[in-house]
Amino acid sequence: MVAACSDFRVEHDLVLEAHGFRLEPLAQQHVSDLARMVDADLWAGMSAPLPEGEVGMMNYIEDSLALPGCLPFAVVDLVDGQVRGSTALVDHHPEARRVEIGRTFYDRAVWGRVINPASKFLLLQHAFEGLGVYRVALRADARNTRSLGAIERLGATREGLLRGYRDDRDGTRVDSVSFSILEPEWPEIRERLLNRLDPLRSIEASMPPLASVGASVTSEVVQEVADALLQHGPVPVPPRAAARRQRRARRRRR
Amino acid sequence: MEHDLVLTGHGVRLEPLGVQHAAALAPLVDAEMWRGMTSPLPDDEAAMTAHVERLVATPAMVAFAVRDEHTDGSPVVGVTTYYDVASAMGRCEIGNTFYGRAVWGTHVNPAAKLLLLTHAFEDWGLARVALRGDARNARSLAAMRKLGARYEGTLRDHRVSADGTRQDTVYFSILAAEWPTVRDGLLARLGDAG
Repeated sequence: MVAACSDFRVEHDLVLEAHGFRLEPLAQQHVSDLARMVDADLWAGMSAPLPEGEVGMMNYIEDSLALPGCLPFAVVDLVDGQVRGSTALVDHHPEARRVEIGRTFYDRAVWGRVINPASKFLLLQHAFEGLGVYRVALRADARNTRSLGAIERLGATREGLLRGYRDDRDGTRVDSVSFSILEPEWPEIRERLLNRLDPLRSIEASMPPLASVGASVTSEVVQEVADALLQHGPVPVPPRAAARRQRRARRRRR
Repeated sequence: MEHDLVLTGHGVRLEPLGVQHAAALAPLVDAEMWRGMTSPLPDDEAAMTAHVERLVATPAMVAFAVRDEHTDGSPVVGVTTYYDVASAMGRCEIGNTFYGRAVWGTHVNPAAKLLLLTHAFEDWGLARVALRGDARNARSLAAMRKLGARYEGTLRDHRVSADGTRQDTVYFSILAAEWPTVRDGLLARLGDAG
């Protein structure tokens, strides 16, 4: 029996961009950047076999494009234009209004930073608001505490343990934990993501409104602002926060 | 997808599903039994032909018509499939199954499961076979438990059922190490000496 995967090769032209990152259609132009960032340890949680070198990554990209119901992306950091990873919407069943987020890996250099919440925000927003799905599933290896933690931090609901789901490098089977987010849950999850992506957002939301453009700064207003800042604690100002504030200021001026 | 796999034994024959089976299959289904399926009820030949065509066209799905060889003429009594066959990942699922009421409680379902699971574990060498069902379908869930499959979780609002409502999908699986016990259970049910 042979499955004719190549019959289903589909290129898409969807670009999703916000919060300092762009998800653009995965293509062979990304092969060198992606091949360079991958090693066996980084690939440990992935379903597909480790792509070896550029040839391996070319095949991985072709496989991604040939998967039915799959929209694969390269993730680009808008500040420096670097390709920093790849992710995908997979297993889209429009009639059942469901899709999965998967095939995700990022450059080690950006682990623990905003690339994942930004990518998840863009994919979830497109899934619920663009594709109009009701359900988004996510999975991670039962032993991949980093990935599990990231999914839990999103606010997804854990649904089950898929036993012996795939092979590990040493030939043992590993379990996979399955999660989902449903459409009624998206607004709250969206808020959580936006607050993570913009640390000032929740502070601004809790700040008192200015009475008018010409309002004088009274001691009461100063105290309220100080209280809000104290409540939220010190705000770290990573370099990109300055760029984001500039972009927000430009948008407000429009 | 198109295939040429035939599985026989224990009083059933599983052969590649095709539109030629639609006429025999259409009279077997009714709304009550179709409630847990995720496609519209195919209770006339045209609708059943469309249903069969959809199954045959689905990638990574191996669809069978099931014949009852214990009855004269070996009539077609239902459909079953492997799906999400991912041999590189060592796994597949069994589902999209229905049988006419006349063969409920007979050898047909256990025999078909025995053939499908034997082929999956012993010929394809898979590590995992999963089965899913509509959370409302108590009969189906009981059958999976009776098989010896293990419950893994419930996928919330996963499926759109034949009546258009969203329902939960329950997820069961059998692992390769569990297969011998499952096989022995099926053989005992079928009354074979082993």
